[in-house]
Amino acid sequence: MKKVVDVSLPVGPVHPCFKEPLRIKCETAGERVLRTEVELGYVKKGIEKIMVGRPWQETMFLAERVCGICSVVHNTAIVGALEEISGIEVPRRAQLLRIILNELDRMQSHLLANYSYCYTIEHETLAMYLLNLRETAMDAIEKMTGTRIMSAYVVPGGVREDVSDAVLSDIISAMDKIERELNRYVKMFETGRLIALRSKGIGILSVEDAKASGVVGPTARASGMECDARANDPLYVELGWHMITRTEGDNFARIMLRFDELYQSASLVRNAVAKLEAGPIRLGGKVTAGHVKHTIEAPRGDLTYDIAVDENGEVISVAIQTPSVMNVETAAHVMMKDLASAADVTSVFISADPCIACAER
Amino acid sequence: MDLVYERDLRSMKLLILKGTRQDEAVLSLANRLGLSRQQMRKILIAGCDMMTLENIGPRLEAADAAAAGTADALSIPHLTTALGLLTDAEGAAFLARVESGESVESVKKAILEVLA
Amino acid sequence: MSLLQSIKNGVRKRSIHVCYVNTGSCNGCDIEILACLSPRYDIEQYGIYVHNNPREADVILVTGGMSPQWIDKLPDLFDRVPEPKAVVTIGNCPISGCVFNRPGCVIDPPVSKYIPVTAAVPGCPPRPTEIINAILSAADELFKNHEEKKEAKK
Repeated sequence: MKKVVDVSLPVGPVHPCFKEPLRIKCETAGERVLRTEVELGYVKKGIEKIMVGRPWQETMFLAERVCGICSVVHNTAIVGALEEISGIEVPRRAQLLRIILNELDRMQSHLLANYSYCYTIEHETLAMYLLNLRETAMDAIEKMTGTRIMSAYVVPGGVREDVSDAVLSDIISAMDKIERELNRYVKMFETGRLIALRSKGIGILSVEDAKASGVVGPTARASGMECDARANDPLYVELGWHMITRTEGDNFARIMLRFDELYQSASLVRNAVAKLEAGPIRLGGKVTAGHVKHTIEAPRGDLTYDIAVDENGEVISVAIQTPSVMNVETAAHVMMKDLASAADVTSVFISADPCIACAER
Repeated sequence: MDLVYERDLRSMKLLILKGTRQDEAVLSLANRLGLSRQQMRKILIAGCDMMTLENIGPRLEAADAAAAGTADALSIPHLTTALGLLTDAEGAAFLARVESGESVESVKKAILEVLA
Repeated sequence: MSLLQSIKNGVRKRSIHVCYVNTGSCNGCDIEILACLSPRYDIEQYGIYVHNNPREADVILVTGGMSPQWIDKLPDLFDRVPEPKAVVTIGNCPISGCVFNRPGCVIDPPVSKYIPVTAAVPGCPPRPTEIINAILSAADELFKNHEEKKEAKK
């Protein structure tokens, strides 16, 4: 077998900085990293294969377990795909509740990503602040759905449970708390000199490279690419969503962009709660045969479900294209190319918010 | 020396290529180069790492959008920037051969010989 | 109980180093372990340190249902952990494979086929409080009088 990279520095699979196992084999010359090769297969489960031939009621829960961090968005994506196939109507209250839950999920995911980055560059204080702030978002999710992760809240035709006004006011006060605390943490991150030394100008991703490898989500937006599936959703635009981009394309830009998106998500949740009116949360409907390619914006970028269903609601074929597939690949092959120091391998990798469970499925 | 961590990844790479999205991409590239699916898989498994194989769909799509003229006919962007099977210098050398009057067919044959 | 043993018991009780190994989970259990680190749950107040380095670990937390790459590496990793050691599995996957254990999947549960498992925390995923509780109770039982137990075994 032809060797891709002459390994001189393996990173992983069990590594203090990685939440998930994967192995990056770096070819180094002195401190400089020349090229990298990624070895996967540590969390391969074959979910796409298991899904085939199963009714949608089972597939829904399998889809949720593609990724534990962004389980809500996988749930929303597969249900959205089924609704698009069958033409099922979703009442407005349910649509808004979905947006609230998705934005809360995005907030906890971004906070976790920024926590991981701060932890990787050994700024543990800020990391712990952010991780504690994430618990506020998790509490809001728990109050809304009844569980922290894997809530299966979104079902075809609406949502599973209504949310009382008391819970909504709790969510708003959680948003207040997150925004208040974030002001402090963002200032800490922006002005920290050591943070700037380890973040600015490191792991630069140019727009050309970003286009060649199909990067999506915050990683692409930090390089100045305008790609966000939320732009195609009229309800998001109505709630005041706008594209946030940065131009630097380095580690610092990626983390700062996530901080900016946290503020945006908080304001989207606020606007969605303000627009909630009493009404039904779930209408009837029947899943019919069809084939659809459904894209929505996950915390890490565009998530596409290419799914075909027969008239009994059984899945004929499914292809899940998660954002991490593109982002991890680019982080490993483009951002790490000609990296000045081997010590930056982990921080560059974590700054792209990798999720190996998503990437391998 | 007994390298504990190095193991044969071919079966796992094949598992990745059997995914619905990846299989479509492999077939389209195989048709483009005039190879069978199995030959294409063999080349990809030998030449690419696992993460590139997972991301083969978006990368080839980007190459499709970037390719034009003779480069498109020879699938140079697909083999260089997208998959890294050829280096940029090799790709440019093949393009130069076409410009110096060699037929596209014979250069394509030469590319396939390099890949195999 | 000798004096040395009682000192060792006291020290071990307040210093448990944890390494978590993801053998093919969906990340859900892993981030619940991470949540334990947060000041809300504050795992370090019980003397549990998450270092993620098998060579200095006392307790290995295994999440996930054994994907093909781990089948030879997990026993290898287990061998490198110094004595006394304990394995606690987190979530349903290491016990049964959870939703992934269907025909056509590539995982091969349970984890106890490959390494000895001391305790298991079921749940998909379990709450952080349950994880902390499990580590504390398993480690206490296992590490108490370790040397004397070893002598008795001989």
